Amino acid sequence: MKGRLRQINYRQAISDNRIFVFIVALFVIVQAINPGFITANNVKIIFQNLSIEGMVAIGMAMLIILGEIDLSVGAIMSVSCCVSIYLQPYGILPAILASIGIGTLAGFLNGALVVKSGVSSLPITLGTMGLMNGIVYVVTESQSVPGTNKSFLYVADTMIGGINLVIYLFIALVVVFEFVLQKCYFGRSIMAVGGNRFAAEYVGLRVDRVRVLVFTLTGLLSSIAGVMTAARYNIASGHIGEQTALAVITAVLIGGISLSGGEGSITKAFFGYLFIISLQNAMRLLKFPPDLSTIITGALLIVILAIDAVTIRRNQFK
Amino acid sequence: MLELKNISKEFPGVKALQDVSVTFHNGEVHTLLGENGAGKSTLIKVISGDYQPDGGEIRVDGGLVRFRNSREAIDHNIGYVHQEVQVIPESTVAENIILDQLKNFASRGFINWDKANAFTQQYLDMVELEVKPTDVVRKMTVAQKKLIQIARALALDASIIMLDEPTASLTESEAENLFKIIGRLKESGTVVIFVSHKLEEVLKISDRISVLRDGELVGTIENNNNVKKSDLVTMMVGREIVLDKFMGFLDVKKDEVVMEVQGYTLENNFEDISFRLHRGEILGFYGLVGSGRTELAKTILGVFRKDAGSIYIEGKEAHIPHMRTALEKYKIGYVSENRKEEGLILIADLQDNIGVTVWHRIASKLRLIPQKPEQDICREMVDKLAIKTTGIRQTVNHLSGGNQQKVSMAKWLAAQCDILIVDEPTVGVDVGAKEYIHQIVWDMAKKENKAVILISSDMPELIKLARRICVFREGRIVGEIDGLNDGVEKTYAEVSAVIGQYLA
Amino acid sequence: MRPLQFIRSQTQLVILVVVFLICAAVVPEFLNERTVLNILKTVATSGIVAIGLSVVVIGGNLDLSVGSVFSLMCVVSVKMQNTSPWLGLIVPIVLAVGVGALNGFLVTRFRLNSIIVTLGTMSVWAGAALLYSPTIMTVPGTFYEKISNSAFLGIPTYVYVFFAAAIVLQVVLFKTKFGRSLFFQGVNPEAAEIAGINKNRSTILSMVICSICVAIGAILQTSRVGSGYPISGVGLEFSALTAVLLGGVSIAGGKGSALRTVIGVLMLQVILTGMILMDIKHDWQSIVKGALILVALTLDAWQQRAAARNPGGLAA
Repeated sequence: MKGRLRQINYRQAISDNRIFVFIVALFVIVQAINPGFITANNVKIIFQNLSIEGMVAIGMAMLIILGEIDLSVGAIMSVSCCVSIYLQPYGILPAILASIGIGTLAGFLNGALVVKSGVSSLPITLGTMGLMNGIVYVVTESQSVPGTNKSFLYVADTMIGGINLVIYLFIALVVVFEFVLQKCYFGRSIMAVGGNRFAAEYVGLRVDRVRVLVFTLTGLLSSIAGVMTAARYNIASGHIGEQTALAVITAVLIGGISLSGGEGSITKAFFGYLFIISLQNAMRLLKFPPDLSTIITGALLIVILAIDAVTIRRNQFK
Repeated sequence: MLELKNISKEFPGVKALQDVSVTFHNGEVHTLLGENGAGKSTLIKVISGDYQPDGGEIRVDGGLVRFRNSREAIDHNIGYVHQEVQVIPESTVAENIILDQLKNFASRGFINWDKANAFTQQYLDMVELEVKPTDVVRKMTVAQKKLIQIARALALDASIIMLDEPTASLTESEAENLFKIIGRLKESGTVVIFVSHKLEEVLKISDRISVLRDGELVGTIENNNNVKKSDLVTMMVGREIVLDKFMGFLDVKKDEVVMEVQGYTLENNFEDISFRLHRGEILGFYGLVGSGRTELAKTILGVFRKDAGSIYIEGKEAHIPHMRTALEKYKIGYVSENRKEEGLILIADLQDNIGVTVWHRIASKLRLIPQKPEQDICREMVDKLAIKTTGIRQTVNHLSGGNQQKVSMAKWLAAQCDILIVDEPTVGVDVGAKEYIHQIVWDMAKKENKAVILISSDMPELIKLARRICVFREGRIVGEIDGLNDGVEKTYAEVSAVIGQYLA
Repeated sequence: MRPLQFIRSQTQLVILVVVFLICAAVVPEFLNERTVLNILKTVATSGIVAIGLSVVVIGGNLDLSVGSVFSLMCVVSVKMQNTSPWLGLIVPIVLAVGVGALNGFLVTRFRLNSIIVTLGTMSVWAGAALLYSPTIMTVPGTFYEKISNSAFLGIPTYVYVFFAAAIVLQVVLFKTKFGRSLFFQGVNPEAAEIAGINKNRSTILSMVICSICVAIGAILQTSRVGSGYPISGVGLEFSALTAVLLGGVSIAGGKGSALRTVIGVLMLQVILTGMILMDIKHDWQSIVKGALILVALTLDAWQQRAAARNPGGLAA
């Protein structure tokens, strides 16, 4: 929670909002090396790449604030993408609805399993991830399957005022979810449960319901992302969403949201994800080999975690 | 002999210890007294090696020592019996007792169990604990676990032993036995450092008492016959406090039974519990740690599922499958004994912590929570309970223990419950805030006409506040005392004698 | 011991036998000597990884990077072998110590969750493997071929290596100070801390052991197959974890054993082999593994919850 203390603790404030510092630093440095970075075109590209997976980041942010995690988000995205490709012959709308329905259901299953079994969400979603990935590989027979209905592509390519429809959708989702998180009963319950599950239980918050709901919403968001992926690339493959979980988790953490839960905002997650995508974009521009890119993302996660562990935010002595 | 000279320790923003010098002699029982936050626990942790002092020096038998971690202190023969029960439930008694000195029983990495068991038996006999070295600890009672902890420290053959609130989970007779053991340790020349807040016990066994306040040593005094409890309290608090103030008379509506419990049973926790609670009453549950009172409260709330029994709220049978039902349908609130883990959201601010119970009342149709009403209610509570804070946006984690407890209680007041179960409200709370919290609990019953169950192992506290006291022992109610605070003043001695009888 | 008690205490072994019998009933080729041999051969390389992983899990941690580390060790081993066979043996192991120590250091020094940390290192080593050797590489004949071809009683040497490793780890877990401390730590980290057990050292050691096992597995694999892929370990962490969980190691730590993990590995391989012989498409394996993980986790949680439902302060 962004608390405004009477006396502003500057160190704390910077630590809480360090993502902005990072982003500014990144843009300044990269621009200095390669002026092609901050151009209208490149920024557009960045936002295009951002908008689809970014929706997943919204869900992951809520989950981490809740004190949970979901490794299967990429798999859900892949499943939804797959469904919309395969159901294209039946019409665009049915395909989209079915995909979103299935993805949301998958999210719900994750939530139900985690809550009912009492097992930590980490190993459970590892299991569901494998399960769902496996299903996609089976259905696609490990091939990349192209879609048959070309008009599906129009969904993603529509432009309004020169900006892609998907970008509008993404921004809208960010705004809506941030509002719910900060101002509505449901959102504040998420923060409370993430802060201390027992205390939340004792004051009568519907802890289990909140948890299942957040997993379901994450499934919903991941499935929308999956549908958009299908719309943009018109291909179903088991490889879609492979890197998503890692990228999105790193994004949320870099944005300044703590893994232990109870605090954070969608805005922070947004900027965190912006940072990751910009970084990847920059690495491409600077002609880094793609494998180096993977290494750097992994290393980044570790560095962020380490910094988090050492910062003042950890109240070690009370 | 252990000498602490000019010890200082600072944490970010807090001077925990300032220039503290104390000498602990061989063969003496030296008690450390102080409120929470006075520096007592910090000082102990400096001796035990958990903290390293920023300034000053520690000398053992004249030689300068520096412990970089608790392992080094153990190697220097310093035994530390923690306040919390610390045993490894999955392991056997023997494993627990030789835990610190595994290498003495291991040759080339393999453990010699025969040797270990024999060794363990010695110490089990010493603390008069009738268990086998090969028994698994998990199924033992809290008291037994505590004795195992003590045996473990003794097994170190330490020259310095620190006991932090060791009698919290022991009965009178077990505590007596412990004092006998302490006596024997004294005779063999061991330095015994004792920490307790039970002033009666402190006066009984200490040779010398050092009192800390706000990180500084107020003084070290000899415990002769002239030292009185009030003297100690004055030293601890820095001002005169009237102990055991007479609160007045409780106006209990005897004909309005707000809650009636019959035959509540939860296997291995409590058995056949029955009682009645009236409006405007403070009903005390007295018992030692582990006597099942908290488990009873949680079962009433629906946290645990009872094995048998029924409960009636306002005359009608109630079914409470879940905590939410208890709060929303029957308006029962529970102020947890464990505020850090169950009562508060430490990383959140006051507004969130207190506001949480009122959300469902003030939320709009859109499930929006309007800022102003929430903040108003929170500010009202802060004023009412005199919570010392820089504002309702302050993180609860940074408040002192007493203020944290006030926040924990504030949210239940805001929730407007009719029945409140208050569990050990003044544990870890300094004497000043303690008085205030007592007043809050009293006012809940007297002014706001609520029904309160007060769970406490602090006899003076119960005698001061409660109208009736149910005495718990090992999961059963072994006695009841009625007629307190009803117009006739009774002395502390009278009441505690009766309670003592029930527990004998 | 009475039959019911026996079944309770050796659940995994019983399940293994049952599963084996079911597969044998459905697929007659199962009882073929060749099938069993194949199972043992496959199990040897991935099984070593699993028992290494189980050491980490018992200590209360997890290592998701085993797959990527395996890939890395494969290519390193192969490249080194091109220089000298001994280097191909030593370098991966030395490297493994470093990798394990790094994992352990990150988890202990910064008190981070091992799952997230190894999620990060998994990425790092995967990329490193690809950078180091973008394509498949082959091993020159001689030394390693001899090893992989040698057999005793018809069973290849490396299978014996696997069982030997399992026995060694079993002894380490149950007889040494380190092993017992690991169990304490897994079950109740706070109590272990207070007891003066050096949790950090145990954690780092457990991770190093795991990485060394991975390296050994990689070496055995490359000698058996004769080549190394930079992506040979993809998905291995998943299989290894499935095997570990099937073997009755609790995800929460503090429970399990190396021999039980061996049973878990065998169980998994029996099921997968059965599927292959039944002509079920390869892609279904992932689904089955995922389902098995969920089943194992739920069973484990069920057991833990039964214990927690009753606080039992008075149980004597």
